[in-house]
This record gives sequence, C-alpha cells and structure tokens, in this order.
Amino acid sequence: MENKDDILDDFIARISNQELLSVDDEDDFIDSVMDGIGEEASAPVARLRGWVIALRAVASIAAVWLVGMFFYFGYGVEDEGVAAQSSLSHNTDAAPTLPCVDGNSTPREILACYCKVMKEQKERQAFYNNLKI
Amino acid sequence: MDNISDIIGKCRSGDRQAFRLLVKNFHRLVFTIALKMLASEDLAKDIVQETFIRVWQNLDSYDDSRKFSTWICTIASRLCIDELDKQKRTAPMPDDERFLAELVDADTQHQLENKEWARLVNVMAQDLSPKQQLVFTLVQLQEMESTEVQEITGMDADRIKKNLYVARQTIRERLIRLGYGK
Repeated sequence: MENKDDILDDFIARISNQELLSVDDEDDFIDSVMDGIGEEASAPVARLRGWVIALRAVASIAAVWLVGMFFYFGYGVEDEGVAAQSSLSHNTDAAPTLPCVDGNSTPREILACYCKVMKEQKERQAFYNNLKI
Repeated sequence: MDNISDIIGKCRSGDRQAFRLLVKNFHRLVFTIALKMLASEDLAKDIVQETFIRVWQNLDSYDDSRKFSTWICTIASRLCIDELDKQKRTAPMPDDERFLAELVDADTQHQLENKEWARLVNVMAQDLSPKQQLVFTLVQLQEMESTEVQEITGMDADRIKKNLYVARQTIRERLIRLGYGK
C-alpha cells in the first residue's frame, strides 16, 4: 500500500490544477445576474417612492383638517348675541366672528362665510373712514 | 481593457456596463468556489447572484488596497458557509462513490465537469464541517496563498492549519475506505 500522504496528495493532484469552472450558458447567466442587480438597485427607490406618496397623502389630509380647524376655532362660532355685538363694534381690528357657521359647517361653508364677513368688515371700515373725513 | 481599479471606479459612479465587465471577469472564480463548496450547480449560481448583489451594494466599502479577488471570495465564502449551515447533508449516492472510484482508477487527469465536481464534493466533504471544507477548498483545490486564505476565512494561520489537518485526515480515510491506493 502506498504511503498515506501520497494517497491524498496523488488524489488532490488529479483534481486540482483545473481551469475555473463555468456555467453552460455564460452570457445568459451574466444577463440574469445583471437583472438581479437591477431589481436590487431599483427596489429601494421604489420603496422610497411609495413612502413619498403615502407622506404626501397624509400631509394633504392634515392640511385640509388644519385649515378647517383654523377657521373653526380661530374665528370662533359664537352665539348670536356675541356675534351681533361684534358686528356692531367699531373696532375693526378685532378678529371677525362667523355668525353664518355652526358646528356642522363644512370647511367650504366656513371659508365662504369668512369671505363674506371679511367683505362686510372692509365695507364697514370704508364707511367709518369716510365719516372721519 | 481597463484595469480592475478603473472598472471599480466606474462601478462606484453607477456605471452598469462596467459592473457587467466585473461580473464577466469574476463570476467564474465565485462559481468555482461555490460549486466546490455546495456540490450543486443551482446553489452555486444562486451564490454567484447573491455575491454580486452584495458587491454592488457594498462597493463603497471596498478597500482599494486589498486584492479585489480576495474581497469577492470573502463574500462568496461567507455566503457558502451560511448555506452549508442551513443545509443538512445527505448521504452520498452509490453512483457518486462509484464515480470517485473510477476517477481514482483513471490513469490520466482530465478536466472535470460541473456535475462531476458536484459528485466528487458530495463524497469528499461528507464528514467535514463547513469551515474545514472551506479551508480545504481554498488551500488544496484552489491553491491559494496562506495570507489570502487567512483574509478570506478570517482565521489565523494556526486555525487554518488545524482545520486543514482534520480535513485531510477525513478525506484520506474516506479514500482508503473507497479502496484508493490498493
């Protein structure tokens, strides 16, 4: 029997010194590797795009809600007495009240009401300015 | 042709054609190691794919002072070890053992095909741990230098020596059991 080390070294010599192995369809394989790279590279971008869309949607909803809340609480829905008192007031710098809205008004109705009140306030301002002259 | 650092520079700036060149130049090396580790063409192809994805994603962290082939072999080797850790080894088929015996009896050396390598590894690596198999593959089958093997495996020279010793003993015993050297 051969020396034990020779057995292994002889065997290794038979199977080593070989060329690098290759896949059968090399070009197709390289294409598929590159496709895989493409998917990986675009995946984070696609995920990011999804997040941007979601954030935009949330921001739009929040903006509409904030505008509604601004008009609703900023100008107050006061009872008719206070509103009447305010409308009789000569202090034109005070924030106008919105007598034409109530708790069920939509943002669009609040906005329309605000425009109407501001218009009236401007007319009133002009009237008092004329009086001063 | 551009040298490797030029190609890597282009890849870093997102040049896909340059990366294709990188794949073309190095996929055989990765495939060879993966096939000799995993004994499966399909798994070896998956490892090549995964290795190049990691290379693409981590090119910025590649240290230019290192040999690129060593870096890519390190990635591939770790993926192979992970794959071997996941797998349960199946006993070699009698056909595989017969193939090894025929190979041993053959007078001349011939270029082994992928399937033949798969059979051979199935028989040889049966009783080896993934790390022993990696060291044996790099040192004996790929004939890499000791420093390169240390870099790839992350083992010091002493541990490599021990793993290689056990791997050689194990394979030798298997060869003798299969009748080699009689």
